[in-house]
Amino acid sequence: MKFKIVPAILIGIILSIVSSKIAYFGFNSSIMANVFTQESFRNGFGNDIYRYRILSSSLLLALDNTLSTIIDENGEKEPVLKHAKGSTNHFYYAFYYLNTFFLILVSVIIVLLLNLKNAFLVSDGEKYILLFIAIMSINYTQFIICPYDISSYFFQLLTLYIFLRFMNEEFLLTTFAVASLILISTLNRESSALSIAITTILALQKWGFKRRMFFFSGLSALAFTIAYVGIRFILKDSGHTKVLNPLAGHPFLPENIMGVIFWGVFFLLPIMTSNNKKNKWLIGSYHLLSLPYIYMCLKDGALWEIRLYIPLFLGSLFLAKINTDNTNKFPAFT
Amino acid sequence: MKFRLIPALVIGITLSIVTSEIVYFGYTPKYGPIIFSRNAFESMFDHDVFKYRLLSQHLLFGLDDWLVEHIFSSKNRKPVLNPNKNNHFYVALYYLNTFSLCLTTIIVVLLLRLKRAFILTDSERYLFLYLTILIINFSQFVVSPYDVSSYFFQLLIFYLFLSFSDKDFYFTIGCISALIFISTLNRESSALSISLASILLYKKLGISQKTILSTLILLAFFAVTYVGLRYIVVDPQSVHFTYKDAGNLLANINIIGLLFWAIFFCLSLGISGSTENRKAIFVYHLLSLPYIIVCFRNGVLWEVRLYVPLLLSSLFISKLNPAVYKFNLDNLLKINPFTKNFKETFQKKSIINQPK
Repeated sequence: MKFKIVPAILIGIILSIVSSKIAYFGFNSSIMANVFTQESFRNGFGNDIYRYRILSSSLLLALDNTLSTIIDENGEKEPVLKHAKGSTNHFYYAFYYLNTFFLILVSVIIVLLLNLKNAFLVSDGEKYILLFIAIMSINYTQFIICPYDISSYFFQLLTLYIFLRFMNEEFLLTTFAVASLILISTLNRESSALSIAITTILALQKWGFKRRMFFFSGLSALAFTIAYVGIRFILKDSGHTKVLNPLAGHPFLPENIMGVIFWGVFFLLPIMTSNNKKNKWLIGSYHLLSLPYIYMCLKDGALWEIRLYIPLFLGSLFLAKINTDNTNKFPAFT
Repeated sequence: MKFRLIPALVIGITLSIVTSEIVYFGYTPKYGPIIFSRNAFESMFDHDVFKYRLLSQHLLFGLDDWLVEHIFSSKNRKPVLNPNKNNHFYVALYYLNTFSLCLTTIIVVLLLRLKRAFILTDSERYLFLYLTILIINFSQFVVSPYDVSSYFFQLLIFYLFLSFSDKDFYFTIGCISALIFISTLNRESSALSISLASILLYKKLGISQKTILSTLILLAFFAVTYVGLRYIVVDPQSVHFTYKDAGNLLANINIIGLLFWAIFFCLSLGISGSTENRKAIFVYHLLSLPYIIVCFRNGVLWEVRLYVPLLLSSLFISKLNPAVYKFNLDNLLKINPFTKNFKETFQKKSIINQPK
């Protein structure tokens, strides 16, 4: 059946709502990094690297303030809240609403991306399956609840969309739009660097090692650096508190091995579904340019938190299907 | 990339294990304390309609006993939300359902590898494999021992039909009947396999003696098992459970379930290769109406697992290769049974590729 934009957006939005409800109220997270209150959130996420992720944290706290006047605390509580004593219903709902909202935005961008003319070589049937797999995979990883993951996927895919949609028509404006999005999304999560990786791959494919490509990627990198360094300069941590996670940095602990396997099978899906060899090259190069992120995940991350692989997976899923026929200047192919 | 048997099996089984680990130990299925201890489980599953679902329950208890006796260590295996110190029963459920999921995955791979049965590109085959596993485990927030195993039986029957019915028709029907018998001991949703088989029989043979006889044999096996179980297994306390959300379609939480049914129904329509396949999906749902009515009347629709058996078949029906079949559902739907010479018109209209 044809992949039409309005029905597809409608299906994507409903799917996001349903799967979020399942992740938050059908399942409950088994791993509670935080008790669900503003104070404990500030204790955990107000320190270490987390304190620089201001965008979604501010949204979450503002949403919680609003919900605290609306949601009945005497109503039925989720088991996870009963277990973590002192947790409030409204804070859990704040997470739920915020992440569902961004998941809806993600699904809309996925539909817009798949609907782009000539950008991807993908059948209508595959488009529906890609939409469903992307949304469900995101919610599979939500047993680690934090406010900035899903919003970071939104920014990542939006950047990709803007590049693919407008770069042919308006070089300068699109370059500045991408740079500004990278600046904003760095205030949300540093994984915005992955947007530089993926757009650089596409720029290389478009222009090869030409002045335009260097200008585009240079400006994106500059925007990232300004936001990354700037926020560390402004938000000084007097206590230098480090948040320790016993699983972090040990990829071969029994718990983390499942995470490593997850990375493996979700790396293989884009590879197996890619249109041709060139697409596989693009996926490989994307992972190569994302090495700093991957290195940080291995060094400081708990790999059982499989959410860490999702931004790489989403990018690869689209690279697997990108149209490599036209204007192909990618160095490996010439 | 080519959809090869061994890599696809390895990937599928690995994905099944990883997603099960996520569902049971990253998340905790929230649904009630019944999954955490054997006593609590028995207090529910020894009664009402559940008491007839013998097969997986026996496997579960056997596995639980074996775990306690032999290897159980609860270290690193305790979901946070479990109120009990004792964890082996939860782990037994986890192992049983993961094992059933691995078997289901193997059948999915075998189905996808069938020559000429489906019109699918290699890339779509991989996407199908991931999609089915992700859907099954995503509905596992209501845990029972017989859901995933029922999907295995259902797809195994589908596979046997597609793979062997051309070579040895009656032997295949015999095997499927035996499987219907076994899977009815597991869950009554085995009736959905009869809906599917009758569509395939019609597409293959039209309305013929063979089709009618085979469908009746399958129905008889189902009916005998179904009634026999109700005759043999008796609950002395005759306990019946009532759920406040059951049958109430517009309860807040059930609306989410209804939406799940709707969008996943749309998914199988959306990916279907032809109008004929879409019609086959409609007819499949039509023939499954008894199951659907029971779900709507007595089920809690928020338990989205109830739609998964319908969905799994629909996904595969959507990609059936129409060139393999002689008969077309298209005309079947247009036939008016009240006209004269109904039988002749029927046979004439329903044939598309009659051999010359």
